[in-house]
Amino acid sequence: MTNIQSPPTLEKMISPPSIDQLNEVVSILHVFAVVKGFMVVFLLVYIIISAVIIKQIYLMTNTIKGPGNQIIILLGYANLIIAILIFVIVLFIS
Amino acid sequence: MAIFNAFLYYPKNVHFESQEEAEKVHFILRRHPITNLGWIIGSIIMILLPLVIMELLRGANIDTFKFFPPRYQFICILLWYLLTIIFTFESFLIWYFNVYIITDKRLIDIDFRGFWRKRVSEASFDSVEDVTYETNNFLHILFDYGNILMQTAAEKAEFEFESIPKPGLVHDTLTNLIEDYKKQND
Repeated sequence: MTNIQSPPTLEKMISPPSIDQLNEVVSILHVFAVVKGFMVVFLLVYIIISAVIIKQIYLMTNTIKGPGNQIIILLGYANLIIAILIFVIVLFIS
Repeated sequence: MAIFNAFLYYPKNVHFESQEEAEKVHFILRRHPITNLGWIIGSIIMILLPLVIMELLRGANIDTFKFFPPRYQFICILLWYLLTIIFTFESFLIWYFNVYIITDKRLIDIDFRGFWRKRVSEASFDSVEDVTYETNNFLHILFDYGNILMQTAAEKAEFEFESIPKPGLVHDTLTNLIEDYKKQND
């Protein structure tokens, strides 16, 4: 007796992948390494932009000197420090 | 907070780059806060978006934690909020440092655009020929803000203060200041 398998139905062929299948694809393609790479690049660009913004704040505060300037400079540095902290976290993520 | 006001009358401890020693600052004006509504709404949408998306995914019974580890999700959300912070902060900076200054001698328009563009225009009271103010729409009347237009004899014929608060008061004071200045120098 020959064991003849029935061909897959169209419904089976176009059914969405299960979570297990997605996990398999993700592990094969090293998706998380790619995601981590994107995060690192994003954060590097962000840190550069934050530094540029601090420079911009100094340009602005030199043009108009007022009591709010100190707060704005502090906010600028806080933004940069937060970005650097997240960058460090991302570097150590496995 | 008074230091972040759009309308400062005889401001204390505020100076600008080319200010002369005896020069008094009468007004520091920014665009009316209501003109910031666009980027404020944008920021609120950016803050709420991840929460809405998570709620929608939960509603559709999609368990994202199964194929995307929680630590990566957490970092993605942090990156999104970093973008939100930088967008909001930059929009605020542009609003805060784009000012119109009226001193006892001249008008100054300080304009920042993008990261590097800075334009400072000024007109001496000598050259101001005509001062007009206008309120064009419903919002102008509701929130008491508008534009002040100044015709000058200088190369830049028209000087405009856009969307400033209390344009009537500024117009009256400015007209008096120009008259006083011209009388003193005649």
